[in-house]
Parts: sequence; C-alpha cells; structure tokens
Amino acid sequence: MIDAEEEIIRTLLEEVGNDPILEEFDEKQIRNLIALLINTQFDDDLKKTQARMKIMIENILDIKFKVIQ
Amino acid sequence: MIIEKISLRNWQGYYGSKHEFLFGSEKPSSIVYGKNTFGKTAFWEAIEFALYGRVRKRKQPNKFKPFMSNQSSDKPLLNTDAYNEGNSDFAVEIFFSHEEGHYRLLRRYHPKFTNKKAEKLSDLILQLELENLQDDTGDRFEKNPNRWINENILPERLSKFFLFDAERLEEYEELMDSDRVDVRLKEDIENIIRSPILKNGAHVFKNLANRYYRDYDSEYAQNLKNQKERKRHQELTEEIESLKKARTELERQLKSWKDKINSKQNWLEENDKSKEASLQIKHIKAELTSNEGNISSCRDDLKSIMTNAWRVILQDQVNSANQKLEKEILLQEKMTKRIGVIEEEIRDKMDEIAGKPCSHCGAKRHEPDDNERVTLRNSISNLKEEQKELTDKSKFPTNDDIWKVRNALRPMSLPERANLESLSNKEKRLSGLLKTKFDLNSRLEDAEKLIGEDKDRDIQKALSDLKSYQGNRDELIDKIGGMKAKIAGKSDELKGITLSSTEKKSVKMERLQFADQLCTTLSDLFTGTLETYREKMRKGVEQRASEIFLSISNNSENYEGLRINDDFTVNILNKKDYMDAGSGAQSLVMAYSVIDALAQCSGIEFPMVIDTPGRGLGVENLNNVYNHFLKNNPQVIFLPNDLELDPEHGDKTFGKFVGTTYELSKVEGDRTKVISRIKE
Repeated sequence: MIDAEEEIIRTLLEEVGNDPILEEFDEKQIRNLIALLINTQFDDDLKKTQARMKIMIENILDIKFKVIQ
Repeated sequence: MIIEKISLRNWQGYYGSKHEFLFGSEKPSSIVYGKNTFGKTAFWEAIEFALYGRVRKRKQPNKFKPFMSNQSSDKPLLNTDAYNEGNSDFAVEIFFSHEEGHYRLLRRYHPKFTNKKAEKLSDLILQLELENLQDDTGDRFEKNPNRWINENILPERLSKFFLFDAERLEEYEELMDSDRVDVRLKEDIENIIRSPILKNGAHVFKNLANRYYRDYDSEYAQNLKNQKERKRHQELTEEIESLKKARTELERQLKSWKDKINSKQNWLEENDKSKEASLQIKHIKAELTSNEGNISSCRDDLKSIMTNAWRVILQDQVNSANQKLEKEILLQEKMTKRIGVIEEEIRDKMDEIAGKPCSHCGAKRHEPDDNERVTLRNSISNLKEEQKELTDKSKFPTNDDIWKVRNALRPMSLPERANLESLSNKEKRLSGLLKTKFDLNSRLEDAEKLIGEDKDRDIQKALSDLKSYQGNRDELIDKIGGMKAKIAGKSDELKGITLSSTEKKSVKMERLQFADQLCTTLSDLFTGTLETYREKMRKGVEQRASEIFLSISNNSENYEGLRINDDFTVNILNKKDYMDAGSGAQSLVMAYSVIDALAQCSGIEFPMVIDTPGRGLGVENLNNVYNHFLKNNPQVIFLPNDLELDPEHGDKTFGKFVGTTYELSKVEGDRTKVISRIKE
C-alpha cells in the first residue's frame, strides 16, 4: 500500500540529488521541511508555515556562512 | 487509529450517560444496526465532534450543527430532553490506540454557572482532555489536543473520507462525467493524495525567495555606484511598482465580486428548499413546453391519418364483404361449370337411348333394352332437376350485382394495412404524452406549493445575478493573471540586472543571494516533483480501486477494472478495454472503490465509519461491500438501516469478521437505547 507522505519524501529525495545548490541539505533536513509542510497542509494561514520555514532556512544559512566567514 | 470504546452523554438522541460502544481488541470492526432516525448518524457525528469539536451539516458542509435547541431549528448536539430539564452537560469520550500508544479523548461541555440555566454557547465551558494512558512521565495530557489530532490522527478536512454517509457516493458517481465533477470534490481528492503539501511547499519557497530577493535588492540599491545601472534599476522598480498598484486595484475589485458571490451563494443556501423548488419549476416548465410541442405534432400526425379513419373503422366489415363476394363469384363459377357438364351428360345419355355412337370418341354402342332405357331416362331426369336447381341458384347475384358491389367496396378499402398500426401507434404515443403532461403538472403543482411566485422570481434573479457575478470574477481573474505575467517579466529583468552586477557584494548580499537561489531551487523542486508524484499516486489509486471494484462488483467477469484519468475522473473498463457507461449500481460500486482506494493510498490509518451503506446497491453488491470492507480494513464500523441489513442475518453472515455488534432502538418517545448483540 502507498503511504502518501513517505512517497512525497521519497520522490523529493530522488530529485534533490541532481541539484548542486541543494547539496547543503541532507535527508534529515529535507524530512524536517516536509514534516513541517505535512503538518501545516491544512493550515489556512500559510504565512505561519512560511515563518517556521524561514527559521529552518536561516539555520542552514547560518551554518554555511559561518564556514565562509 | 483504532477505536476501542465510545461513551456518549446527553449526545443528540442519546439521553443520560449510560451509552457505551465497546470494540473488540482482536476484531475491532463492528456493525451498529438501527432504523432511520434511531441514532446511527449521531453515532458517527460523535466521533467527528470528539476529534474536531464540531459537526458539519450533511447538506451544507461549510455550516455546523447547533449545540443547543434554542440556537436554531436544526437538531442540536445537546440532547433536547436533558436541555429542557435544565441539564446542559454533554460529552463524547473515546478510548483509542494509535501507533504504539493508548489514549483517552474527552470533549465535554458543561454549564459555567450552577445557579443559572445555560441558554447559549457562552454559558458552557469546554473540557477537552487528550490523555496518553501509557505515558509514565507524569505529563500524560497533550497540551494542544486539536492540533495533535490534526497532525497525528486525521486532518479534519480529510475526515469525510473515513466518516461518511453513503449519500456521498452519489457525489463520487460524478467522477464518471468530467463535466459534472464538483470543484470541491476535486479539491478533496487532491487533499487526500496530499498533493497540496507539494503545492504549498512550492508556494512557500517562492514567497521566501521573493522576500530574500527583495532584501538583496534593497541592499544592492543602497550600495549601487554605477549611474547607468542605477537609472535602469530605478526605472524598472517604478514600472513594477505601478504594475503592482494596478494589480492591487484589480484584486480589490476581485475581492468585491467574490464577496458578492459569497453573499448570493449564502442567500441561495439559506433558501435551499426554495432554490431547489425554483430550479425544479424551471426544469418542469421546460419539460412541459417540450411536451406540449410533442403533443401538438402528434395531434397533427393523427389529423392527417384520420382522413382515412372511416376506412380504418370500416376495414373489418369491408374485408368481410370482399371475402363474401369472392366466395359468391367462386360459387357462381363452380355452378356454371357444373351446368355445362350436366348438359353434356344429358346429351350423351340421350344419344345412348337412341343407339347413336359416342359423340366424343365415335365408338359404336349397342341398342339399349327396355330396362336400360328406363335407367337412362331416370338418370336424365335427375340431371335435369339438378340443372334446373343450379340454374335457379346461379341467377343471383348477377354479374351486374357483383360489379356494383365491387365498385362500392373499392374506395372503402385501405391503401395498405400499415395505416391501422400507425393510427394505433400514434394514439398510444398521444396518450403517453398526455399522461406525462398530467404527471408534470402535478409535479409543478407540488413544487409551486413549496414556493410562492414572488420567491420564485427572487430565486431566479439571484441565480441570474450569481451567473453574471461569476462571469465578472472570471474576467478579473484573467486580467490579474495577465498582470502577474507582466510583473514577473519585469521582475526577471530587474533580477537579471541586480544579480549579474559586477559591483562588489557584501557578505550580507552574498547570503541573501544564496538564500534566494536556494528557495527558488526548492520551489522549482516542489513544482517539478508535483507531476511525478501525482502520476505515482494516480497509478496507485487506479490499481487499488480496480482491485476493489472487481472484488465488490457482482458483474466483475465482464469488467477489466477502472481507469483513473489525470484529473481523477474515472472510467469503468469492460473486458475489451472499452469505456462502459456502467449501470447505476456499478457506478456506486465504482464510487466505493475510489473512496476506499483513496483512503488506503493516503497512508492514513483511521477506521472507516459508513452510515447507510446501501444506497441502491442491490443485495449482492451490498453483501460484497460488507465482505470486502470487513475483510480488508483494520477497523470498519457499518451503520446499516433495517432495509440494508437485518440484525439476525447480519450477525449470522458477518459475525465472524466483527468483535461486537449493536442495535439501536427508541424508548420513551425519542430516546435512543443501545442494545449489545455480539459481545467479544
């Protein structure tokens, strides 16, 4: 039987590997992003989801740009 | 999630607090029998209420049932007898297992004040508890049960796939006709296959990318030294701003049309019965007009046939007279022939008496003696008598008489027999049309009883206004789309300038630029994945739905399965891979198959609770439905009425699949009583 959420994650992960910009992301981070979207699938206030997503992106940026600095 | 126990207190028809449904640990499925209005729907609505704190109206899914009887004329959630006695304490408690845990969920409303009767919702307090019964850390209670349920058990918007009245199957039958599929149904299907996760993802990342880019752009503009580049940047920014202002104005207009549409739709929903009646009146009137046309053309046909009607009416007599005449003619011919023969015989016998040779062959004959002469004379005398008799008889009718009768009958004959059949067919058709007219008029009368003339006019006007508003809305949506495309084009141009600038970028700008790229890539990734993912789900649902269809259908040997199209419309395929229109029952089977397949492919584990499962399925198909669901789903609760499954027969046939069964009855007027039948 298909598990829709797992299928989404699997399909996304297959695609992620092809993009150099997304090298910053590991599977765990992608899973976290998806989990957030899954949990807010029916959240009428997408801005709230966006704010949470921004925090996650900022964390990834902090790691990358700390290394550069 | 597997439901282990449900307790109801003063819940709808369930007066008092001793209403419990236990579900088996080995076989958690169950059947709750009950006649219509005995409390079956209230049972599954209790599950909906416990999980989400509200119960949707069946015909108006965006509206909710009132809590108390004084709130509206609809049946309330709080038992009316209890409310009238001053007791406004009502609750639903569910014990369930989920993943590895066991939980208790209580949603209870009770009066805020002990000395005052609760009259309105604000006079009640909500007690909501979600307790993890296996948590030994001392923090057994979930802090935000509503959110936990939506995120861990079942999002409210998907509950309709699991808690449903089989009336909804009719909605799914529309999947067989792509022109009729409701937008809301399409949204539901997208929701259950979870594609909004990817759509939302793409949307959220696109917005984030825009935000990061705006910040980058602002940094860039502040530090820009190249005058030419600065000028072009400023021009483009101003153009974009002006386009955005125009778009905002269009969006404002769009909102206003949407508000008008909502308000019209709400008005029409409030006047739902009148609207239905009005639509019916319109429809019946159109049918009556077409019926009148048919009657009139049928009457014209009859008129032309009726010019021969007197022939038609006399046809049997004319035929009989013709037959009689033919008989007479035949008889006349026969007699004339016989008279000729007699004459010949007499002549011959007279020659014989005279001893003359035979006039035919010339043979000589001996002279007769006296005795022979007497015999010959007697014979001649008999022949003459016969000849006389025949001559008398053959005088009438004379040839003249026959000719006259023939001439009289000829114009009375029908040109061909078909006219009689045609007349009778036309008569039959006319009487059918007149019957239809009578039926239509009585339906019209019934519909008109429901609605006055003024109201009908109002409804017709509202429907016509709604159509015109929707036209305006669609036109604006197109315009906004065009405007957005223009803005996107200009923004891309601006982005091209800023990102390819040769000026030195600060670390902050580098970071913002990377964030923009990252979010754009993610947005593209989600958009790109959406199609691949939808196709995987389509195939999965198609395969599963076909298996279920063939397992439920009583006519499976003639079918290959189901085809689910890109837009999730459905075709029933017969053995030759042709699309089959499918009978009413087969399309209901299709609806069951698609719902179950969607529910299974969603990956959500939740009991299927199916109210009034019959819906015109026929005994064989319905038994297949019971068998299929009870055998293949971890927990199913069927709520059949007495026509759909007799409790004795149900327990005997399906008892092996279920841990418990219950029967609902009515006591003391309108109070529901739960009778336990099969116990674990």
